[in-house]
Amino acid sequence: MYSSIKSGTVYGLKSFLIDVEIDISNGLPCFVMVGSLNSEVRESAERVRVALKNMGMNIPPSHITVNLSPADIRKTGTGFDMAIALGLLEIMNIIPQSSLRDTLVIGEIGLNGEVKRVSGVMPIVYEAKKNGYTTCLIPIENAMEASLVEGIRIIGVSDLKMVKELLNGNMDVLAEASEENSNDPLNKAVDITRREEKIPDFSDVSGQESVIRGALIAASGNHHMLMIGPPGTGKTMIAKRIPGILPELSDDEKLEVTRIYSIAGKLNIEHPMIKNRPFVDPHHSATVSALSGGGGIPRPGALSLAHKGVLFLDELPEFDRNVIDMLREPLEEKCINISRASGNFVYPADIMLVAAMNPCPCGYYPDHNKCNCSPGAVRRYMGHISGPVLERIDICVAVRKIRVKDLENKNKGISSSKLREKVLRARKIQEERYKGLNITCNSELGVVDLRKFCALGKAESKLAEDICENLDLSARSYHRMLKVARTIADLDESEDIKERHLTEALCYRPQVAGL
Amino acid sequence: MKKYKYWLDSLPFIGGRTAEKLLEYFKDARSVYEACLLNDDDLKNILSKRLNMDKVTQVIKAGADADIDGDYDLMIAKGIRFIDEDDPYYPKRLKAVSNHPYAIYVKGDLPGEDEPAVSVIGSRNCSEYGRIAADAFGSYLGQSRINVISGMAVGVDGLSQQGAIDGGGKTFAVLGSGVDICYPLQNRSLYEAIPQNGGIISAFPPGTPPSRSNFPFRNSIVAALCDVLLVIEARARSGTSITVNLALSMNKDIYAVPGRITDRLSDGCNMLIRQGSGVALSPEDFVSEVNILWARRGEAGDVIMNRAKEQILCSRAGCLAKANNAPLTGIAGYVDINPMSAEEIHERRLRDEPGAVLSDTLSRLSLMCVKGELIQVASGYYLRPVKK
Ligand SMILES: [Zn+2]
Repeated sequence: MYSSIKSGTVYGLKSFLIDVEIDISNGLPCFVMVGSLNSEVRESAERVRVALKNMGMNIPPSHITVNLSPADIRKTGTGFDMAIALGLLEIMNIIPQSSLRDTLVIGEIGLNGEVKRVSGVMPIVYEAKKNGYTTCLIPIENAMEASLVEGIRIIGVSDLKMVKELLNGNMDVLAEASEENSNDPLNKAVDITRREEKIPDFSDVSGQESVIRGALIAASGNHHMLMIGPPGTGKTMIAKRIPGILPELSDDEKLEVTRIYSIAGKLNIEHPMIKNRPFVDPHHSATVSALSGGGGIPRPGALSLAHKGVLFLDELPEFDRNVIDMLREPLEEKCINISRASGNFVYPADIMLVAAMNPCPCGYYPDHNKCNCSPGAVRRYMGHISGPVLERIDICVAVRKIRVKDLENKNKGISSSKLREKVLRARKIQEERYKGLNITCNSELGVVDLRKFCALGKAESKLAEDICENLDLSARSYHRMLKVARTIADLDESEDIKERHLTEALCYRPQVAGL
Repeated sequence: MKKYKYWLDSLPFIGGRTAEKLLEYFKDARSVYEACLLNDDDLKNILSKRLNMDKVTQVIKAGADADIDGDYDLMIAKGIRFIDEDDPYYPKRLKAVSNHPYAIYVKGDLPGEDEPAVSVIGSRNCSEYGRIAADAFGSYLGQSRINVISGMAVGVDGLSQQGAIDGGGKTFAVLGSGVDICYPLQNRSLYEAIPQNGGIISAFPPGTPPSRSNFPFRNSIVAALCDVLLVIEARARSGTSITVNLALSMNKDIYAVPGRITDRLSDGCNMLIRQGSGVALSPEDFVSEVNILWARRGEAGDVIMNRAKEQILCSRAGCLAKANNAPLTGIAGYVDINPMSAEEIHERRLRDEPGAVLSDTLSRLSLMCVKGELIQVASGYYLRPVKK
């Protein structure tokens, strides 16, 4: 006797549909599972057997073979439990034959028959829809994230008994759910997806005008940014507000980001989907794999969780040297390559890096009245950040200690929505300028593009020459300055880069402190 | 005989006190060497009072293995002189101090006994004001043929010594390492220039690496070698005040360059003035005071007095008096000689021009930097140099 039920798994960030095939034959009683499985999947046999027993459905003492195909995909996780259980029930004639045709089944099963949430449901459901499946049977807690995929029926279930009744036609699950609980999970999901999630607003920040100006320029041109200042000056506060002035995520981007969070197991009932640009702030004790992704089949790390959003690294010099060096690849390629014994994985990491640091060990350089660090100590402190990362940071601003006077100031700061308007206008100009090119923002301009899009007039060229000569700017610093000047000009809605744009851009160049 | 003295001075773990004890017992360095070769019990006894047995064995082994002639010749070949306290060249000013070193090492010259000497000390991370003052005082002292003694540290020390060379005078650096080791590395070119324009002095044998524990002794030599000690920029309770106290105990005259009462880097100097030190109002003023003090000692007084009278204003020193007279217009008027954040500068500007926008202030500041009228010291911080 044989049954076959569709389930699915994720491998890296890719999702695959998997056939769960079960055969029951005469022979010595045993439960064999094959098909390139890791230990979590193997343990499934035990969970299913006990769960069915506890529900009063004893598995016949025969030779049971479970095959998960295709065999060339390595299978992980606990999501196959329900498919295996339902396959057995089908053979045991407890549920009708082929009642699960065109249906995808995912879910972990507890020993009492409860269906528990698993990670990575959303991308699997998406895959199922693409392959023409019409229905998904999934844990109720995953129902909301799955409902983001349109055009496929989602049935959330909470225990195996309920599934049995449902498949036998004894119960209308949706009606039942809404009767039993006024918060029908699906209705609630739709509700939550519509609800806006609050991002803290820049109007709460007082007395940091130049930092906000820096953040505005960074957000407009998608430049990476570094804030330098003493501890307790609100660097984190400012960083948290940056996602709120970036353009909103498009629907496709929302799906793309939610997919990563689903696989990382970071979604729950309260946050079934990612609607705002992510803000990820790993602690400075984070390891390389915490940032890139850890595990044999790596789970997405902080860099991928910050995809399309802001990665905030507070106290940058405190991070492990390897972690800082490792940022280079994602900053350049917008993705990370991870090599493991199980293969190579490429994870997306299109991030805006916002970093913060003290200028020196005590935090008050260059204020001689407060800082007593030796010039060597200041230089060594800055030296912790490797050149290649510092070179990719276009905007560098000083953050001052907020004074009581500024806190008392009744005039609120500029609001995030006003800032976002400016960002959107500047982004639109960039989009039009780079139409048909592989670029969307000024920060992505290469050396050749600079010549074309940042051409300078006569007076401006003279000024640029003076700047390079008098301030001893390297070619790389000069190019960075041009890119930032382009963004400032776009914010100014000026077609040409003017002298004032160049000189303001010059203010933001990262300077290695210490004479 | 000298090579034995050098041998004794360069033994590991042997400080001035131990060497003294050994000489007291064995009378001279050569006898110590011979005792060492014989693995003498008395020698071991004296050493074991100060060192543990393990180290005693190490000292005797190192002493017996040393190549007496070769080591000394090698040092001489490197241009390093070894001057023990019995040497007629041993500086009198140093010998007058109770715990003077048993011997010193010199690359270049020693300060002349009949030439006035001023030690200049101050903060390592000095402000723009301190830099200018160190340079101006140093160069005017050099021009006035007054020797400048200092520790060649970054900041005030090195700047005043470079100034002395630029002014055509002599300067002497007292190091906390062997004279063959350049520390700090940033002052490499100064280290290379000093032997031709004065000398490098150390109480530590060649090859001694710089170490924190060597600096207090180095500072006491800096204080000992001068007639007048000048302090340019120092915090309250800093290493500078220790050197000042040492100099006071040696009966040296102390002068301090005054600063603004809002600058923490000037607290040390202002406090010295409050306590009665001399006030160095300008390089010219200070040099004439030094000359008068020198003259009172009755040594070659007339010559110096005459020189003091016909002093020409040095352009570099004169700029200190002229510096603040330059009228400040535009954005530079809001910038201080100490680093100031762009936002603070903008706030000052807003008092006069209520409508001014920050981005305009930023681009004006940058433009001034390009013209060299302002300096951006770190991201978002600017200062106005005292002179161009
Ligand atoms: Zn500091």
